[in-house]
Amino acid sequence: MYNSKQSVISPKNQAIIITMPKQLVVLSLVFIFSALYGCSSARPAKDELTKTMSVLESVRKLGCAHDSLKLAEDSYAKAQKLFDEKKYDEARAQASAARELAQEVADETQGKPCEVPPEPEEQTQEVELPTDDDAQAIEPFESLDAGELKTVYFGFDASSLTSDTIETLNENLAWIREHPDTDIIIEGHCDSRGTMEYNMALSDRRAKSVVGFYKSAGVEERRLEPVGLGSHDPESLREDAEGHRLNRRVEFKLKVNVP
Amino acid sequence: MKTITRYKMQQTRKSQLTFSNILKALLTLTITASCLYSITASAQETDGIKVEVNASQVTRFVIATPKALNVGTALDTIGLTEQLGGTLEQSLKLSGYFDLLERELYPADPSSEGMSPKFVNWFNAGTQGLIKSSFAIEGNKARVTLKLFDVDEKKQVKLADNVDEATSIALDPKAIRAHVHRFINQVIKFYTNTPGFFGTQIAAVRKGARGKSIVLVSADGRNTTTVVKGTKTNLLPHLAKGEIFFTSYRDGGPHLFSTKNGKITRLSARRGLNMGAALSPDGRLLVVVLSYQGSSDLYLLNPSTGEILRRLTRHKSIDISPTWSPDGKQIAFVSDREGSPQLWVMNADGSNKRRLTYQGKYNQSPDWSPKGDLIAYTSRDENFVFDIFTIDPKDPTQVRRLTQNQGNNEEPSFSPDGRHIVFSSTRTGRSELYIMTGDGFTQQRLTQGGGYITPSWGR
Repeated sequence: MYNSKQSVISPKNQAIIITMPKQLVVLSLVFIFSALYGCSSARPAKDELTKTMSVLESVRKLGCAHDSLKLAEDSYAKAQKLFDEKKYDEARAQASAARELAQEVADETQGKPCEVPPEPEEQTQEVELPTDDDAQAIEPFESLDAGELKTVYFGFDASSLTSDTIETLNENLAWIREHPDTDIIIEGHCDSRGTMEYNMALSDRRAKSVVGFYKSAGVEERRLEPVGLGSHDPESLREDAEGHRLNRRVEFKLKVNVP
Repeated sequence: MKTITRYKMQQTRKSQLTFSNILKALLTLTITASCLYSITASAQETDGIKVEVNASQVTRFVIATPKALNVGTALDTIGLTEQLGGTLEQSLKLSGYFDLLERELYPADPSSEGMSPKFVNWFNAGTQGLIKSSFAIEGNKARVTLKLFDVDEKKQVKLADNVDEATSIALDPKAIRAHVHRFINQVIKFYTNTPGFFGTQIAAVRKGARGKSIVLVSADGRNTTTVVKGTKTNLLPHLAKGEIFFTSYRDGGPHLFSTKNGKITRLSARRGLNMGAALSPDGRLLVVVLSYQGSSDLYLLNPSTGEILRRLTRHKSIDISPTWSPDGKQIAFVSDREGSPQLWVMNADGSNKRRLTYQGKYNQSPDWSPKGDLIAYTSRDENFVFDIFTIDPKDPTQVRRLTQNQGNNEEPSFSPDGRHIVFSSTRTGRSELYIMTGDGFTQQRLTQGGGYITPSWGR
């Protein structure tokens, strides 16, 4: 991907220059082999995987949509894969990282399910400024579930509508027309494999592309509120092709203005 | 140059290491090589082995920090010795300019010489710099003295701002750290002509169980304060001139806010995206991403009212992630107008747009160094791994890789003096903030506990 004009610098590029007699070569080889031998056992890796799984299971029960839990699940899956590939040291390290993450959730939740009372309001004063183009300024809003409206999915890095997508959008259109007094939030989402800003822009583009479809189908634009959510609210926590597919989507919510 | 002479001396002295230390170094290397990384070692020369992990770009200085001396009558029951020693060591390491002399090489009983070093002993131990510290606990305060000695020149170095005078400090870890940092900043100035970054702050997002908060992290990583609590998703902080601009879903959509002195102001809540704010170096303009006209485009806003002053891009592509050149005349940004997201540069009035990056298919999150010489950015490879690169905006063929094979490394942000970069990395399994020297030579973890992303070093 990068041509030879780049100078490649290793992150651990410490200049270590040590001069020593030749007989130490033999000694160093002995160290290398003994260290390698000591590193390649399956048993500690298996034990670590088992321990990690038990922590994960205890946390899963709490039903938390926790970032660390997601990372722990991913990390555990990777560890399992490495183990299957007989890369025991890496598997053990990966499983250990997963356990640490799962433990973090366990510590934070202290075994209580995640439906907990909301945190107290911030001790901050909020000021709203007049804007030059008040027509563009949006009133604060919240979203409600719109169970009747179906989610549509997108290709990788794409915001174009496929024939399947259009079919689903048309099914939703009937409901939208039958409920003229509702405002709809069109929520764009991405899979996790991008930078935060780009994902937000891409999810905004997906939302806009659906808004455009309904606008041309005659739905009043003021009823449609596009919101790009990037990859902040994934449908699937899986980091594989299927997980990514499920996350590249537009969901529909009912918009409720808040005072 | 003085520094070059010093470096050569350091190398000469290193070759005089004792047998036991070579053995120790070798053992460390073999363990590292066999269990963690594969290091390419080249064996050459006829009378020995030369193990060269990589070539250095940054001159580093060997420095010693013997244990602080308690010169008072009160016993150190609060661990002040460790606080002083720990802060000195951590900040010297974090700066990336120093190698700490191994304790085993110290002269026997350094405390016996008091605050007047026997230079020949330290010279033979192989150090160039020596920091001596002493304290006397007096009630709820300590009288602390920190001194830097130039071992080569056999004399004390007089530092600016009287940081090496005896100073009375409250017995509060924060106050003690702050004093040590003022001292270390001057030590760094002595060796590199520019003071260190201690005392500056980094804004970042911290992911928690219930949302994403905006936090401020001190540049030594020891102190994190929550500025905007994560009951909703708060993102993409930009810390400039004491104010944090950020994007939040706190009132529904991705809207732009700023916060200063505990007050939160809504700056832009136009339809669609309101994000990616960057304040111009003179503080008079805010460049942001808005999508209320359809696609994501860049606009200039009045930073205190949110009023639109000018539209800078007008393209159906995604235009995001603006960053100012230090003279305020240009803006670098990301656009996928030619197919893939790449770095572009334009004049600050939106004219003369030209593409900067051609290597790679996914180049993002640029940050223009306050020195002006480099733009750091994130690049994603074909395996969806993110790493940090720099490019010279004047000569875009000069691309340099700073991270490799260490998890995902993203969202670089330069220190106010442009010599260091803070970024997020998943190399330990969690997302933490790291600081590296501008050439990637030294990389040190800053935070603990995980969940830290999108840092913005305040300037």
